[in-house]
Amino acid sequence: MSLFLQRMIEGLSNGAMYGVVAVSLVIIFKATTLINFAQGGLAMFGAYMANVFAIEQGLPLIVGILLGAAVMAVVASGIERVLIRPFDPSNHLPVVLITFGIAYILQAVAAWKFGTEFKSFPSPFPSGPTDHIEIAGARLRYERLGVVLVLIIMVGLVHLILNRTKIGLAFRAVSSNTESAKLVGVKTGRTLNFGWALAAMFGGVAGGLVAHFTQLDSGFMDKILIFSFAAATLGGLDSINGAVIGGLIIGLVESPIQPMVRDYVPGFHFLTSDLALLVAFLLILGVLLVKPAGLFGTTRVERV
Amino acid sequence: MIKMQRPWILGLGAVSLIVLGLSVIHLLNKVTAGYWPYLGILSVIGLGTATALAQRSGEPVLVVNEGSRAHRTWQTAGWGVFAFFVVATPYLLDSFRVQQVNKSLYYAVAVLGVNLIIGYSGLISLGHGAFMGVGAFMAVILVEDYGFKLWQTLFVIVPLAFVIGVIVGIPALRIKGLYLALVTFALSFAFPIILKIEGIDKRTGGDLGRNISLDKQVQPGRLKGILGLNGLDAPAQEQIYKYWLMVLVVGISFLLVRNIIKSRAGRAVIAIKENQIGAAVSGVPLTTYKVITFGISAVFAAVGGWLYALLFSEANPNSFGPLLAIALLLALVLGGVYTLQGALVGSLLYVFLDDLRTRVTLTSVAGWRPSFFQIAEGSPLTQAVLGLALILIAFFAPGGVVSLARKVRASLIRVVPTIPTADAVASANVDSPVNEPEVAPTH
Repeated sequence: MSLFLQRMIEGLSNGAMYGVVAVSLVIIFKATTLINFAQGGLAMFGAYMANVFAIEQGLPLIVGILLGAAVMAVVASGIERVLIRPFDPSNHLPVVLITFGIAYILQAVAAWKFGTEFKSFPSPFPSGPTDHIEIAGARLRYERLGVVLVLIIMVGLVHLILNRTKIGLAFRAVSSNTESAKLVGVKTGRTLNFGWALAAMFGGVAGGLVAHFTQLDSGFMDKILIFSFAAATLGGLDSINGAVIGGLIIGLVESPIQPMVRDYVPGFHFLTSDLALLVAFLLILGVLLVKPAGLFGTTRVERV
Repeated sequence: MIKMQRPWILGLGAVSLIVLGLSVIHLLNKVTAGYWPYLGILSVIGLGTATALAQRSGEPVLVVNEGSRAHRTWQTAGWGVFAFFVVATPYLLDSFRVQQVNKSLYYAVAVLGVNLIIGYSGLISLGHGAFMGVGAFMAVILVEDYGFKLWQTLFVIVPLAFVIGVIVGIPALRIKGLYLALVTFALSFAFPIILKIEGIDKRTGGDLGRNISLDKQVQPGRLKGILGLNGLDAPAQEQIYKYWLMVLVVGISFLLVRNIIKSRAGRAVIAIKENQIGAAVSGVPLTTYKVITFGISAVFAAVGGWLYALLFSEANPNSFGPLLAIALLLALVLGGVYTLQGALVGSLLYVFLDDLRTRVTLTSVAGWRPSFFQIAEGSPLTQAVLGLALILIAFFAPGGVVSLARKVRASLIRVVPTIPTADAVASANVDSPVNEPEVAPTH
């Protein structure tokens, strides 16, 4: 039981990280119906910036992570303005190419500027050997609980921004119908730019959180990104709550479900932790076959 | 019949093209400081100028009638130059470079398959690296464990890849647009992991991969004399022999794809891409065609993987992950989506660009040493070149190098269909009395 709880909290915290990155993907998809393959690169770079601010310059870690995320928000809005906006979003291929290109460049620059060796990265939450609460013999570590807390805060924040502010209203208008939004005077360009900045900010914070668990390296977000893709796809690419739930589901599949199946279901000992990705892949494939827009996504009706 | 005005523009274009070709060849052979890089840049500027000048006047420099003798002569000459390069390439380069050409050839076959999906069907697939992996691993496993000869494995690989492609393609019908890109991208992440599953790894060799043992590898056989291999050192013999095998497979693949595209099925697939609803209304069975196209493209990718096994005599799960998928995409768009030649041109460009970036330092190209731009050889920063290439292509050459070249050619030379002269029409009418009202007999 204690093992189960411990695995559960591990899965939930992993899921929370996937959820945060997935939310950042969903924000961009909602705004532009594009998928940003550079989101992992942006988050990775944000974590390196946090490393620069917090470890090298000696700022408090939370300030460092937020500053890193803010820098990435500026970078992302620049990317949106210069590289993404000239393209027609309904033509997918050029944007796929550009976001892959940005991902390549960010990784190359990070490896060049910050070195290729792994760097350890502290957690913003207490992470000493005794920093945990015990429930039924399970050690729930603060660093893991903290990640879940951050997810809750960030999702609350994004809902506040989207539902209670003017720019949030504009964002929702653009994402529901760009043409009509333009007609009533919403500055679509600026709104999309804001969406990218917001997404990069999310990614940056997620990068700062993930780096503690994986160590810092120019490719450390790759695996997280692919799980987040799975999470966003599972929840439906245009639903923020869906992304969160998708992230948590993927996290739970990875942690209590996969090791439990391995340990207790006969014939499944080959199910090592690497295979969590495969299981997640099969899961999204199955969901998409039944519901092509994901669990909570809006189904687009095509008129024939 | 030829009409030419301001021939010096054409001259400028031709000279630029030749200089560009020479500087590329120089750059491939050795990367040293010198005037060649500058000449290369100048020649690109020259080509651009010629194009711009020709476009400004709105009239192409040279107008050639289709099928006229001049046109035919030039066409033949063009094919002759192409054939010369195909034949001469392996004998002019050293064996390491021949191996690179071979590498781009197996890429080319796989990219042909990717092009069928991305270019001609308009579905974005990032999972074709996995199909390549199926081809490579089946080749190695069948040769090593089941005593097949390498060429015999094709008879298993082609149907198997088709079936797997169809199985993957069926979900692709439901999953649209970028969802498909995501799912196939996830597939290319999952594929190496599948190969390393305990139990399967006995066949695939797990993390280390598997080799084809030395006595079963492809060796230059009886054709040595015909191919002019006698007297060359062993690596050169091996690479040139493999080059010819690959040219054969690549040639057949291009012919097949060209025929597929030109066939009724190919037109139907393109119609689906252009206007899905319109195609359905015109009686094109969407489901069947999409699934079959997926299957066929998987076959080409798998044959590309088979060539990989032929070339390197090994297969490693880690070689067939997401990086390969992106590399295929890069090669496709470098050459040109929706063009047949794009697969070959793009693969050559990609392989050499990828190699060049690890060898070139800015000092070796430019000859001077501004310390800020000092990038060590093989620095991780050079990876950015590939990303930069992706972005530049999306901006400036959405149709890749091939369509760029076509644009340049079209602005310089226009081939117009021959309009039959009045005499020819008259004589044709005499030959075909069916169209001509018969003079009624008077008595």
